Order: sequence, then structure tokens, then C-alpha cells
Amino acid sequence: MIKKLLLMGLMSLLLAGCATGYHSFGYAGGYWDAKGPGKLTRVGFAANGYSKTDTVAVYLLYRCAELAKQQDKPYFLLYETIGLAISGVPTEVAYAPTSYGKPDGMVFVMFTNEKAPGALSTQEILDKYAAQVKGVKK
Amino acid sequence: MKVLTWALLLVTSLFLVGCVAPIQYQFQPGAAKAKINLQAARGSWMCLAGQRYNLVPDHAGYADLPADERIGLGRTYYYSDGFNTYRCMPDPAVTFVPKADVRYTANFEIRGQRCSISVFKEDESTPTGLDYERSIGVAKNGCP
Repeated sequence: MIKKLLLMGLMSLLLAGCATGYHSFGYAGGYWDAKGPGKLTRVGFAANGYSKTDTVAVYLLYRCAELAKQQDKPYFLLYETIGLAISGVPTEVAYAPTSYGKPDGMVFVMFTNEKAPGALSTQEILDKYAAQVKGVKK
Repeated sequence: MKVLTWALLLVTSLFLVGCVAPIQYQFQPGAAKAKINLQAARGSWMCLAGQRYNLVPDHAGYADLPADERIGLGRTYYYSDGFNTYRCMPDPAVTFVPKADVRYTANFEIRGQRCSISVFKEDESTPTGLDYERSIGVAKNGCP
């Protein structure tokens, strides 16, 4: 019994050393999304302290593309802030700055059928990062 | 004696709850109101004339605001990682003058351990459904 408990403890410690993987938000972090404000959608990815900020940024961008695909939208516009969204200034890159020692990124997204200036292609993003995010071979 | 002790404890607790419970703004009958969506800023409070008031959203996430008064909007955010507890309060906090029957939306964010709160006007005619609120001002501690 003691051996089992020790083994469980050791496994927990080993697992705690892993970076946050690509999954929905839970105890170890993950992606989340919420409708609003307005016609925008907030999409975020929170990771643990073992995760790299550029990896989390890719996860965040990929999640936006997944949501666009779910809504049958071939394009999406990515905004860093609401103000930039109102001003119509999209970005092509997601960022995940460190907050309290952990990468934590959030963007505002508008899903669209039109290829507006600065709009990202849903399928292109999914294809580009699938291998990195899910280990899926092209 | 036991019953009396418990009754005294209950009365004291009720009294203390009344002391520490956040105050809710009481609107005068027929007073002009605006609405603010707090879904992206849960737990925000309002400051009017130096007094802080709790904002209570309805099922759709909207709380009432007094119109034509400069109010401050703030939030105190606590986060614990199991070792330390962090506290973040937007500074400067935002103030604005809500107009009657207009809908606003508040947004609370933490980026790089700095938190901020912002307010936008809801406007269905724009691509985002939002517009800048022109009466925005700033104030220390969220109280104008």
C-alpha cells in the first residue's frame, strides 16, 4: 500500500513538470472562449509555468481557427484589444505574455465569410499548425 | 442559557453581515438608467460621489447604472497560486457618464500582471457591435 502511494506521489510530481498541452481549460490550464463583447468572441489560452510563451501563442491562434471552422467561417479577424477591433486594426499574430509567471494569452476574434484585409484563412492556420498542436501528420 | 447564546451569536452575525455587505445603489423612482454588460468584468463595482456600490447583473449579464452622472468603474482581482496571493486593481480606473437607455459593456483584463478595466458603448450599427465611449475619464481608485 505504501509502495502504491509512493508511486502515485512520484507520478504526480513527474506530471506536474509537464507543460500545458492543447486541451480545454481545466486545472492545468488550456483554451477557453466566451461570446462577446458585442459581435466579438474572446478566446484565451492559459498555461502553467513550464510552458513556452511562443507555443501558447500558437495554441491560441490554432484555437481561434478551430472555432472558425466549427462555425463554418473560412476567415477570421484577430484583434489584440477591443479598441483595435473597433478601429478595424487586426493582427496576424497572437501573443501570450507571462502573467504571474505563466503564459496567458487572450484575443478578440471576429469570424467572417469575407476575405477582409488582415483576415486569416481558417484552413491555412489549421494546416500550418496541426502538426505542432496535435502532432497530426500532414 | 444555551438558546440565548446562540440567539446572541445569530443576531451579531446578522448585524456584521449588514456591516460588511457591499452597498447596492438605490435608484429614485423613475430615475433615468443606463445598462452595462458585466460578463467580461464580473465582480466590478461602481463609484459615485466617493461611495462604492456593488453592481448586480441580471440573468443576461447587465447591471443598471444611474444616467447623467460621472461614475467610476473598478474591480479588485485576487489570484492565488497556492504560495502567494496577488491582488490587482485597475489603476487608473475608468470613469464615464452613462446616458439614459444606452447599453455599455465593461471589459476587465490582465496582461502581464497589469490589470485594466475599460468601457465601450454597444452599437449594433458597427462591424463589432461596439463603439468608443466619448465621455471616458480616469480616476485613482475608481472613484471620481
